[in-house]
Amino acid sequence: MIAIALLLAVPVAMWIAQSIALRACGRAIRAQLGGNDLPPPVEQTLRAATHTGMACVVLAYPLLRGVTPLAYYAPFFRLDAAGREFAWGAAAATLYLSLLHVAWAATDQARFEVRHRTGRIVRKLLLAPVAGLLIAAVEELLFRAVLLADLLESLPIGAAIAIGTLAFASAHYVRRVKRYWTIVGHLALGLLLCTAFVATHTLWLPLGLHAAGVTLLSGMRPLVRYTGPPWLVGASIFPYAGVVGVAALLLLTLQVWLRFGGALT
Amino acid sequence: MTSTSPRIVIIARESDAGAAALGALAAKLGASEIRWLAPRDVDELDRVAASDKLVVLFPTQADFLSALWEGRVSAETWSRVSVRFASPAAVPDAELARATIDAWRAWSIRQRRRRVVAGTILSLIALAAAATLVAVL
Repeated sequence: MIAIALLLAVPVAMWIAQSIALRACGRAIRAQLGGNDLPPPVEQTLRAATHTGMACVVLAYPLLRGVTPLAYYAPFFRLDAAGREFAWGAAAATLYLSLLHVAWAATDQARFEVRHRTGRIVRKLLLAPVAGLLIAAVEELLFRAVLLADLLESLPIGAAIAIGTLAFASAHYVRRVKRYWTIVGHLALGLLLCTAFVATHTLWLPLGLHAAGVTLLSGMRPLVRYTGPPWLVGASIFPYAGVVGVAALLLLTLQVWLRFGGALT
Repeated sequence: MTSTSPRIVIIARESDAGAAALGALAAKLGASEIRWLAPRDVDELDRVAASDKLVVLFPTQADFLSALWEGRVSAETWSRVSVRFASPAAVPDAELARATIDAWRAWSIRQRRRRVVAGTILSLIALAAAATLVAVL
């Protein structure tokens, strides 16, 4: 359970950093992390503390187990499975998201329109794959290679996946956010990614699924406006939080389990 | 009937509650020909409106506005025909904007409901298509 302890230390470190930054700005310490009214220096400190905390966990966990990070993470990136599993994950996520958005556009539940200057849109589109891959890589290392792998050593598969799913979803709501009901979508996504990891014992499949999803959604964000009801199309950057999005994630989870055999050794 | 008597198309069913008032208005206008078109068949106006002596009768202003916003009749047809309402006989200017907004709002709600139903059905089809394609990957 070293991984859980390390993960829980991250929000604590974030809160300490936020508190120090708030005092440095002459503001009162607050219990909650984040918020729209944080002064820019405090926001930047909080962001830096988040990234640093996550990086520390990724590096410290193997060291606490007595191995180098390279030795620990290398087995999760077996080259024999690399291309196939990553490509499958990316293709599957792309198919589901694309077809859903076509259905939504055809029925005016989502509108594709240019809402920013061309230069800004091009920049966002070019950065989307890079951001997608980076975000997915960090989260997969943290929540699958560290946390889930650790849980699987001492818990039954079902319990490990349940805790891993809950931890992944909760982490997205540690900071104050606009809406909390979208956690349903994050739970379904967490279940998919945990299942993909357990089924293959590598990070390629969850990485492909995760990276393609983040890339597509962040790439579409400057161009799409969701006009349908939230229960159908989710919210803003979380279209998978609606009933259809959650159904898609659960369906894909089942397909992952069936396709990759669900080997438990 | 004179050669200038208008052809009248009534956008309602003969079995509707206000049909009698519409028929009476058509007779008062000296119609040379009366035709009934159900609201769902309003797009047939494009075919029927061959001359500019056509008068189109709607039960209410809201019914006319719904037909207008649905966009199933061409702008050319609308510009050729003469539109009348059975009731109210006239809307004071001060209430015109409110009446139009209310009618638009009611139409928007109906339209949105229709699109949500269509969106849900098409989403399920999209899920099935995606699942099928992923299964053969």
